[in-house]
Amino acid sequence: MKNSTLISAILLCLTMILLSNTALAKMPILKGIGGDFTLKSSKGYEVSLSDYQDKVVMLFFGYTNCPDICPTTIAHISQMIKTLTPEQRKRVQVLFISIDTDYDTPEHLNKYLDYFDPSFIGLVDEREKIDQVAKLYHAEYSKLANEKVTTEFKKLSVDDEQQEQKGYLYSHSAKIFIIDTQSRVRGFFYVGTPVTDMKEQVISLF
Amino acid sequence: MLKVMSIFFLIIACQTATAQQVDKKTKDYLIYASVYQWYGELDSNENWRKDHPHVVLDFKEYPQNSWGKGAHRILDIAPLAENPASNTPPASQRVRVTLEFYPATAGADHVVGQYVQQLVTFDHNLQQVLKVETELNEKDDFESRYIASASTNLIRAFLYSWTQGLDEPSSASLSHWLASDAQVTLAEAQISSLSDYKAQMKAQGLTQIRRVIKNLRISPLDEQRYQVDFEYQWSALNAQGENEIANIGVSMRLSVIDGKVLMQVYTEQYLAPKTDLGAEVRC
Repeated sequence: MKNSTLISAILLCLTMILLSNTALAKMPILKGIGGDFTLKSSKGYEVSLSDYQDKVVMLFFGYTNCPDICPTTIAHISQMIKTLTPEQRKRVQVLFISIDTDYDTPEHLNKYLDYFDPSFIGLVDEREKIDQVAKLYHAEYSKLANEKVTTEFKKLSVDDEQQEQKGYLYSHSAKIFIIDTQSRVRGFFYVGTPVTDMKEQVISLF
Repeated sequence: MLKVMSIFFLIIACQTATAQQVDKKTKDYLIYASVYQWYGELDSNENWRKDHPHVVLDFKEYPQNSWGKGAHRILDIAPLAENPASNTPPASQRVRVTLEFYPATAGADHVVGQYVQQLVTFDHNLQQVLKVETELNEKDDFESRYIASASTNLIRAFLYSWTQGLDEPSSASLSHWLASDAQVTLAEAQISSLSDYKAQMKAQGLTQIRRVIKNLRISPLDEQRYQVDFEYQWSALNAQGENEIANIGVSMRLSVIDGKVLMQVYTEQYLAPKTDLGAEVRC
């Protein structure tokens, strides 16, 4: 009787191991995409991707005037970060690159990202430099129209006297780029990726 | 106890089946190249008689059971497994080929095609065709436009050989496919030639290199020259045992002269990786 219980337990363990291996396939290394960059940051200093070689970087291209995808995605990332232990959080860095070089400034980005998580870093620079980084990551974007508008999220990120200032709307990639501790792109998440899946995959890259 | 054991073995069986399915999907490019080459030669002219002197054909797809001009458009290639219990290497390789055959008819733009299944036997190194047996030969009940397929079959044969050559750094040189003034641009900017490419693959310790051909488009430019565009879904295992993948766009300019393919221009560039549609949503 005791023997059969022991064998059952061993078989159950083996089954669990087999199932967990199937569910958690490690993210592949994506070649031909990504690379190092240096941009002005919301923290007041220049930031390079290579500064975070000991961390998993979650990189997103967006802008503070974005009415939907950007706030939803940043909130989604923030939700995932909250599920990590303090030790795990230290090993993840979220970078938000603004494609709206006409309007976003390091100060706007800092205020905007503070609403989600103060550890998130916003990056913005001259259009040419942003275009170079966007090209490296195949993160296409385009201005939707030549008409300026303002959104509730823009109002959150600017000072009172600037609230009436309007910005352009952009169409842009909704991918969250996952970059490992050797600065290699390992895959993408998006707002539809379950938080638990994101967490498991990020932790697997530590 | 019995229940636990049955669940365990069921999972093992499922995992094995999945692994076999993945393996089955991997095409043997050398076999594909040999099949396309054979039908390309058969559709080109009668030189196949001297290139494959020992071949035994039944000619059942041809009118009056004798060779004539025609177009074999291949639908499926299924290599047959040899006896796995045997310790000696097989003396031949058999392949079941499913195709549509269109006999060339003088002055006729539209012809009645035939749905054909043939068993093709190659020698062990896939260089010579030994035997072709027709297993099925059914006439279509509709007419189709006749489109010659000799060049496209030869180009496909070349593509599979070329790809196999790129995937196996230790394989024979690829330079015999290149025209004397050929321009070659590889996706990795720092690699300037095909020999450098092979050296780099070896130096990086990449193994299990595999390029899957997707979205192939062959467009004739004139009677001899062709523009060929497709994507390579590249994958490999690096020295650390990690899986690397890439999506590479390829553009080729080829000519087919006297049944031989020669490459003038070969250009690769990295494309954005294919992602979940949800990630492509734009605001």
